[in-house]
Amino acid sequence: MEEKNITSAAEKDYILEVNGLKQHFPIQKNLMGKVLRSLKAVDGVSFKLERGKTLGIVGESGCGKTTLGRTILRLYDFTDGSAIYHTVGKDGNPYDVDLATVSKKQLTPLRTELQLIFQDPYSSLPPRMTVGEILSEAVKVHNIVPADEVREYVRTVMRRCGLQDHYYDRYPHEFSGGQRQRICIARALVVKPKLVVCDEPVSALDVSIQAQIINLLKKLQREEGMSYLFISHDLSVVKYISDEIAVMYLGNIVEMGTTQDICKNAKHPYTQALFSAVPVANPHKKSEPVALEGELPSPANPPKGCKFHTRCKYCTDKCRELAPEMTEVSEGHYVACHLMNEEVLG
Amino acid sequence: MEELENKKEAAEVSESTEQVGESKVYYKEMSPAMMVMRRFFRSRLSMVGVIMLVALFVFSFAGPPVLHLFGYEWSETATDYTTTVKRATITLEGVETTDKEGNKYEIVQFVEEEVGINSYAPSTTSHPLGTDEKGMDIFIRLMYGGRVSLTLGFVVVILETILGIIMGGISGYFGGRVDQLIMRLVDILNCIPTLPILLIASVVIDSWEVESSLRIYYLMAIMTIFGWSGTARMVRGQILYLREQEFIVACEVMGIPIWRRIFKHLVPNIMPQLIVSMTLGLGGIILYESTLSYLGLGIPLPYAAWGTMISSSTDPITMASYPNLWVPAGLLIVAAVLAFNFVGDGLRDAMDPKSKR
Repeated sequence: MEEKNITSAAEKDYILEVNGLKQHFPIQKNLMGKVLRSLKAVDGVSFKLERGKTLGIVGESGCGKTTLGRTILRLYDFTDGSAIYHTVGKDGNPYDVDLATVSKKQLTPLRTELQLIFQDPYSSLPPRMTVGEILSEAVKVHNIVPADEVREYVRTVMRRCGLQDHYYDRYPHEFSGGQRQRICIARALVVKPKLVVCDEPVSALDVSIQAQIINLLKKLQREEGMSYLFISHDLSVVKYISDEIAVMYLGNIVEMGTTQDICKNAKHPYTQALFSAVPVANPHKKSEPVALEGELPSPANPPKGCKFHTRCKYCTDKCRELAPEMTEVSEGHYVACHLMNEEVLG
Repeated sequence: MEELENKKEAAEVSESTEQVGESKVYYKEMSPAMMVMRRFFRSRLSMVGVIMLVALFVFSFAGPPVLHLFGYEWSETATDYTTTVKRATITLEGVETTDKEGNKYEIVQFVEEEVGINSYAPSTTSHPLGTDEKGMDIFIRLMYGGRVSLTLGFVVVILETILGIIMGGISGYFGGRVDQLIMRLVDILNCIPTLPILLIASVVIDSWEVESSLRIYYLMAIMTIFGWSGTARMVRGQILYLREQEFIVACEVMGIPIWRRIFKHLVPNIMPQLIVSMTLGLGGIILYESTLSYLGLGIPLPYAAWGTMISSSTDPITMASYPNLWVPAGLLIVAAVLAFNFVGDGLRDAMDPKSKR
């Protein structure tokens, strides 16, 4: 709680400010190479991430969560928008980089600061390298520590991620999913990152291992002061790890706020539907999930107006015609819905 | 909410106890390469192939010096100038005569000729497999022929693979126009029938009047130029598949330089397929070399090559009367191609990650 007071008193220290990020993948081109139709995976997303905090991004499959994370890391080139990354240069002076326009050459030194943890711990580790080789490769390439200390340094990081020393010379195929995910986390951590995009890091693991990995991520965040962009479709996990939550639907953020705001005081009908579907560990409590009708529309051909109107039970004529803007309902709580002040949404 | 957190804290506690009870048991780790070798050597057929190959190599490369050590006097191009008497017996047909007592007589003509070289000699102690029409020792020529065939096979396969990796790698990794260009080139090469084009190329080399000892290098170059396309196509396909794999994406996130990504991450992962295609390709190259030599376009006389040795028996008389001139060379070609195929098949099975045998 102390931390929160400090940050709210002083000006908030953001590590990443994303503005109107768009990522459109071309589906059809004419002979001249002009794009005729495109898949709007991410269609204008803006958010701010505080240093040392976790922003959870939730949404159903295909809503563009993963694309968002990967675009921020410049694995895809931005279609539009910007992502201002605030960092400290080698000389100790803070400076800003726009990840959308930074050249590949300038990006290389930043690679150590921005890391990604993958969803699938099986395909994200090279099968023909030992754990030690995997972990020390980036350390050597980026000269994180002097060459003769690499081995010792990598082992320290491994120990902190709950990996035993003698795993150093083992191959990934000898490990279980949870241990592999620990290796992936160690690989991300070994370059001393400042911002880690966690792309559904626990959804391929079973529940008991999920808890271990989430706790490991929290512990490492406490120790290192890293910021997480935590992408997941699992609301209970996001609720547990995030300071703030952004709910995505079809390439847009529909609601964003602190974890408290989103969980207890959801304004957007989509968020309400999502949270009503979370099972509660109480057999006496009757839950009434709000069933969403229909399928997620294709991002190649999104509906006009509010993108959610095809499935929203409160839909009005205005929703069909006009896309809603993000509006602040209370401090730090943003909703994109025409009806947020109406009584229907409680 | 609280329940959930309690549960997760409990998990954290159990996690730390796990770390306390860290075991100090170390055991030998098995690398993927070691597992492949183990599976490979467990297969009987591939062991037969390996033994055959080792035998062929020892025969070809260690054979001549060892034989010379024991006083074997013949070498690759030495002609046996021992004067021999060739004796031909000709029965004149249709000139039978009958004497007064009814005995029939045949008239037999003996022709004896002193020849300056010991050609078409049968198998003797000095020539274990006899000599050919030029009086050269067949046994030692088989060894030298093996050197040519095996060396040429290996050199061509390695050159083909290097060229294939470079072209296929560029094509697969960079894509776009370069990819289009290289792949269309591969298509064109695949449209040309190999044997006729090799024949034409050999005739062209003939017309350049290349020194016969240098011909083998020209042959290697031509076979490489027409042989890399298959490897390139395979490498491209593999790289297209691999670059979408998450561990390659992870490399990009890590900021690993491009050359390191290609040579440390992509190439090692296509090595298994490459090794298999190289081994299986070797047999084919040896066959091509033999075919060309047989047609008189490969290794020219007096140098020995298995194909050239077989081609010395193009006339029916030699074929029927002197099998020692061509049967051994033919058997060695069969043995070499079979051995490479056995090894290639064995490697393919051993490297198949789904194989649990």
